[in-house]
Amino acid sequence: MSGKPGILEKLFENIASRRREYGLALLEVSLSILLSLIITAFIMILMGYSSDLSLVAYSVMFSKGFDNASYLLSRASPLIFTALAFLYPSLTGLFNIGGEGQLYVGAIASLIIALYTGNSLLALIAGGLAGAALGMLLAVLRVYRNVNEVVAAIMINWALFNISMFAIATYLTDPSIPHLTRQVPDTAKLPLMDLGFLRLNTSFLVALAAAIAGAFLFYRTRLGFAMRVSGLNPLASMIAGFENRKLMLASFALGGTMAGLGGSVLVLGIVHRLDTMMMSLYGYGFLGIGASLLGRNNPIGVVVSSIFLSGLLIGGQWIETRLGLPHQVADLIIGIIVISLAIPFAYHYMKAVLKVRRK
Amino acid sequence: MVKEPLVRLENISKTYPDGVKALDNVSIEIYPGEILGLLGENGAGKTTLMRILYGEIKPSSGRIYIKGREVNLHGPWDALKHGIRMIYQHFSLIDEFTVKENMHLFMSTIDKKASIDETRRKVEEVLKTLGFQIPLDEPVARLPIGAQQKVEIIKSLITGAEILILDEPTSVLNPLEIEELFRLIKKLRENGVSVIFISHKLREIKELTNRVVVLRKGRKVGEAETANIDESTLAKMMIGEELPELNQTGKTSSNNLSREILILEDIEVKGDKEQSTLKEISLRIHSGEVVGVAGIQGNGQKELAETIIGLRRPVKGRILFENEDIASLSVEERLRKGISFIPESRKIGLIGEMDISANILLTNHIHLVSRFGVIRTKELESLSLKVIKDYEVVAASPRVLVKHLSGGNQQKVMTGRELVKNPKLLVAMEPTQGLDVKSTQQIRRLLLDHRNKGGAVLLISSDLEELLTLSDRLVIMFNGRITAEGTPGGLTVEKIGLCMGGSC
Repeated sequence: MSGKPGILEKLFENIASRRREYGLALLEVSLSILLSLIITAFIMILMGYSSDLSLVAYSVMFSKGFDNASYLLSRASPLIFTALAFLYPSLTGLFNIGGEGQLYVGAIASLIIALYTGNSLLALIAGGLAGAALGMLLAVLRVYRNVNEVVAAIMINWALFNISMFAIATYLTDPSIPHLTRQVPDTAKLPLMDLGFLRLNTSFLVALAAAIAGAFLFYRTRLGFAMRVSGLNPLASMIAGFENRKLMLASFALGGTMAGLGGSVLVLGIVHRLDTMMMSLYGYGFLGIGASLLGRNNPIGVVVSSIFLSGLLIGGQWIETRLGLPHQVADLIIGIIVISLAIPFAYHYMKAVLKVRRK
Repeated sequence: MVKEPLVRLENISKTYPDGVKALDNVSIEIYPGEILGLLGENGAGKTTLMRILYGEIKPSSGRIYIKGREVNLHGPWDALKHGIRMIYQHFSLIDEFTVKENMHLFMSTIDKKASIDETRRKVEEVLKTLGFQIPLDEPVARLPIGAQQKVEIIKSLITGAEILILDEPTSVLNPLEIEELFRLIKKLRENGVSVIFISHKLREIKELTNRVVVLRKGRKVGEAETANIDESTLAKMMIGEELPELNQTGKTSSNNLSREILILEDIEVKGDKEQSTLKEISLRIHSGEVVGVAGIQGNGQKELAETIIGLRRPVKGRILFENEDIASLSVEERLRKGISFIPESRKIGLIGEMDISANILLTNHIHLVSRFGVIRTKELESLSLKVIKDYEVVAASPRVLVKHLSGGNQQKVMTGRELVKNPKLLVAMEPTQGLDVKSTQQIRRLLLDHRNKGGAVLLISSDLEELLTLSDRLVIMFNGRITAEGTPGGLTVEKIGLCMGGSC
């Protein structure tokens, strides 16, 4: 350690100088979780369940949700990507609600390339590019035609949901199992790594790499710095010689790439085939928005929040099977936890962004 | 002439919560059927005084009498009841609504029972008496600015305005529209409406008003029948007579050795407003000199700065920097060439949510990244420490967020990050705005030091004292043109005032 005394020291110094902010953030998170558990318990009692059932439900949810690390991390990987898909444009002051649609095209592009080439790297690239192209479309509409990116994204999401379903059902299904597509060939699958205590899905490594690369880009390079500046203060950005339009295009392309890669790892590393109703894809894009807000606009925070959220999802399924509660109860708990965690942050954040971008 | 005043404002003072004294014991009267000019520079308190009369701001002390009775205005609704109407520079019209609908909208806030047909009838009646025309069924957005202003005025009249306050009404208009506006205002006077005309333009005050009240720094400094006073006396009243001491250290005599750094030739640039559109601007700046730009805000100073740094493209003319045409270069390319900029507001130049280092990186990124665009953090760190030390920024570390710094320290960061580059040309806008005396002195000293080291400074300021103290040469802008040029010693206060007010 004596070789690099600077790094840890700097980290501590950094934390020390922002102690108040980090302390507040920690307090907000703990209070939010506590509050949400109380609210959910209250609602469950109103719904007629016995008051101790909520405690049992929580214990099942948190113990079962987080006890299988291998499953948890692989489940979290696509979510990390869709969260990053929202996060990166938002650092530039833009809302990418289009993660869902970008995930679909990424998944389908990856599946097609995997089926035809059997190469996982090519399939990943194809997924990323497909997502990026779609992200760019939103950005071009916003930058050159002044179309609100949120409205455009919502409409495109739905269009793509139906187009994707059509494409899967028409061109990609396995003749012997008509409701599923053909399977990704073994050569194109993202492998599992056996570490003894953990069977690590490579998808998670790819996602982690994307988050770390993103953190580096945004906090250590000029391009990322320019994007953050442009999001916080477009006028200052112009004075500094940055071109806001290009930065908006770049950040949306980056966001699209992330969502596209989310689709890729889902297909190549986890489900290996899609179903005609797209049950395995649906919702990751939207959930990513929540995960991003939970992660406090920080790429590494997003990794943590995505894992946390995935744990809740898995735990939610256990509540259903263990306690026989309807799955809506699990959704309720997750929903309230996410909302109450995101409210303080979303409030600060939206206040800032709306002030800057929409005059 | 023993008329009873319609409105009397008596000993009005206004101190804002942050301690700024906007008005100090001002008394004015408005008589029926007169046009009263309210003259003063930016920040003289004209608009504040009128917003007090309109009930928008409560005075800290003082009394308001309307028709001899003391009134207590709780808000604009009270002022409206007393027949007072105010028209701002930014119109309060709904663009998508037609003229008639806008009229009716306002009508129904005064008289809830009025129908739209009654409104229409009233409008037509008023237009007929005045001999003006406006298309009633056209959406407001499709009308030219001059016509929109007429809509605002007619809107006030149909609801029985007795006093009409116009806040800098000509700043958005072109010369033809101004003529038309004056015709309308004079018609109003014939019809017995009193008009308060806020302006900093001497000629307009002289041409239009019966009586004029001059405000300076929140005080009433003069009052006269317009016919009995000439423009140069008004100019002196407006900007004050006391000349600041010229206490510059090591003032360079304009030696012939200094090079021409920047040459603007016959520049024309589209501005935010008609009034601030740059026309026929020619200007030369040498190394080792401070060129001051005087003028009332919004006469093209911001556009001039933005043209030099590359945010605006000239429609016509050439910009030469060290004998090279830079008109087509981007902001970044001009940064590389050594043009530096301190914007007019810390809100524009700084990012409060980021720390001092990042704000320093903002305009120094060119020298602080590797070939692949990776930020050299160590160099940034040492540069940040240098800025903090050299420019006396009071902050615990470069990690402190800029929003947690005081205004003076923020300004020092904004100034220091430019000076540390030792730029060939520094365009500084309002560099001491809102600072206390000590910070102001520090910043001014830094600018002079930079000049003494051979840098060129274009200083744009609305603080005349600052300009006279710091500049080697002074140009005065009015309506997007340079109306006068000279040394601070060679220009009399009277001349400066006349030129700032557009009368030279």
